[in-house]
Amino acid sequence: MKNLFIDILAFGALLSSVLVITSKNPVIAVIFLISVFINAAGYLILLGIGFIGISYIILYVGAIAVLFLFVIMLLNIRLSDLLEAGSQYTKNIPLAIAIGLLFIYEIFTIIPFRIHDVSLISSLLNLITNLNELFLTSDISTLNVVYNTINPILADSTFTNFTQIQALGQSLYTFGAFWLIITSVILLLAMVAPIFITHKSNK
Amino acid sequence: MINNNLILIILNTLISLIDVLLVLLPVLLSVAFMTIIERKQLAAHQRRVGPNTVGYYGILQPFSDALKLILKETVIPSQSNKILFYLAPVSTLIFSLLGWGIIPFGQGLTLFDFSLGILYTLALSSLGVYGVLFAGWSANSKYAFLGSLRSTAAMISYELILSSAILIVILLAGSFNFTTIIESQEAIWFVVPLLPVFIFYFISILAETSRTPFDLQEAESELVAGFFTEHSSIIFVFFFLAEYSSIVLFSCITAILFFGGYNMPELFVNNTFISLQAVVLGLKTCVFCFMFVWFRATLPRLRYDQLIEFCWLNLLPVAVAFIILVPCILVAFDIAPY
Amino acid sequence: MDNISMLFIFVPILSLILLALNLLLAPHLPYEAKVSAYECGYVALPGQTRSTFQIQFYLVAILFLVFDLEILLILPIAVSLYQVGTFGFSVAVIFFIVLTIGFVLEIGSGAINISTSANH
Repeated sequence: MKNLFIDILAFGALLSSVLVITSKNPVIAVIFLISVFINAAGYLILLGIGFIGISYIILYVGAIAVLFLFVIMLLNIRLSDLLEAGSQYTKNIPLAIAIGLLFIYEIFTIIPFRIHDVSLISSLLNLITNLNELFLTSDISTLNVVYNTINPILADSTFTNFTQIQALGQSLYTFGAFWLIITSVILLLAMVAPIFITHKSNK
Repeated sequence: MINNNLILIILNTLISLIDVLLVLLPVLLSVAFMTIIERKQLAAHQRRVGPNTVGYYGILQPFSDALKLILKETVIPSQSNKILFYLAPVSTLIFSLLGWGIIPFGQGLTLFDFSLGILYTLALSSLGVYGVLFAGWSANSKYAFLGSLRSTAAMISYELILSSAILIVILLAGSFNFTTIIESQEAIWFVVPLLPVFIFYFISILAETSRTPFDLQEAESELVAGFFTEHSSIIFVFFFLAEYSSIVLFSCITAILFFGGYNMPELFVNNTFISLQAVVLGLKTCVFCFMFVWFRATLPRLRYDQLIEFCWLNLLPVAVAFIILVPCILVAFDIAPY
Repeated sequence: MDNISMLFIFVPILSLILLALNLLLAPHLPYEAKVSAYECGYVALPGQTRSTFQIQFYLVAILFLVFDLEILLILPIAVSLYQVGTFGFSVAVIFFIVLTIGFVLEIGSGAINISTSANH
């Protein structure tokens, strides 16, 4: 039953992400974006990563999507203008392809998984591994760090009996303290910039 | 063998359906009675009689209202976005009813004992913004649009206060689970150490359910009826039900977070075999429902800029200060919950 | 099937039943004046709906995003305060001090002041 729900949510996320880019009206596109977020959050919750899933809903749906909607409503774009502008964006397709390939390359590098059955994918993965050896040094230590981070079974937290969110707090406020403070500086910048941008326009 | 399994599955589904109905039907009834309580109580505050014709003492008034509204024509403005026009009220109702899924009505008496219970409530209340925003946008009327914008900005501002107040409660309880929060209040209700937190928490839930000092979305003198200006008949009922359901829900959550939930003070020992826990929770909820209406009868409406500035310039600094202060005390005296 | 998934299935069905009841039982007689946008008895002027609005709403939303993220990052320490002890707590305090700078700036610059910006 749970597997069925997970499959439905994954399919819903994919379907609505396709609908985000195909729908003409920007507000409708944001609605499908919200649907993507909710599906992804439900997927994470069903997988057992409850806190991350719920923070997805609180942050992405509760804050970011509201921000998108405000921007779209603030600009009040007419549909015809949008279609006109859309035709000019086709010249950016090479850039889009380059960014997309870079993203796929990164993902395949970071997430270590093997697919033996499909020859095409495995050959692609081999190619990427070879490329990595060309670019990076032979010991891919950073990748191992990432691998250990995303695989909680390997982390130290398996020894103690923490709830998931306690483990998160434990690692965030001890090992990840430096990153947390960097995050706070980034958040400070994110707060300062819009204040000054909107402040100038008032005068 | 297969037949047996099938029967078992059907039986399980039926039992969970009955469980869900056992929660939802009283909730819907309490929402219906909440409307009549509000009208009667407002009448009492203003020395009127209030509705007293339908049924004994006017007690059937909400049902006749609901029946009337179901039988009325749904007027859809020609300029509106039809699907969103229906979807917004439906989603508002769904998100406000789903919040009841994790409320413990007694020891173990809950639909779902979620370990992140309180975050689930916060997530649902942040989803509730969309019903308001899309209702105003889809109606394509300027009053509805302005009302929804105002309402959304106020709701998201006060959600910050709500989540910081809840954060402080979690600091004392050491868990997100509602049952654990209630059990950790056996010694003393959280309202005693956290009285200032309770005050700004209650202000934030008044704004979150957009009740009177903060009901700017439906300021009649400026914005007709706010974001549901164009909504009529059943889709209006959805907004109405959602509003009152969230009032009762937040009253219940207030009772759970600050007033010990289903636990009685230990002065009153219950020696009988009858569990009075649900009744105790219900009585506590009634007190806060009463306070909601009391505020409506007493307080005048704020101006919109006062509303936003009150949140960002007065309440939020206090909330942030308490987020620092409470863990300071917990760490200094080494009394952080394990 | 457990109770919570039943609730998630049943509540949408309930609202759909109510909608269907209305569609079945209610009359449906639209005419032009009835379905036009509400304008206190006058004919609504075209182009006034969905108009642009003040930048302050956008600023409220973006500041909300930052503060929400901040509270969400503080949430894990609320349940693990005992485990991380004084060290983790001092990290949280540093985290808050940096953000308080932004907070002071937000209050001091009067960015959220809707009334003053409306007068200009």
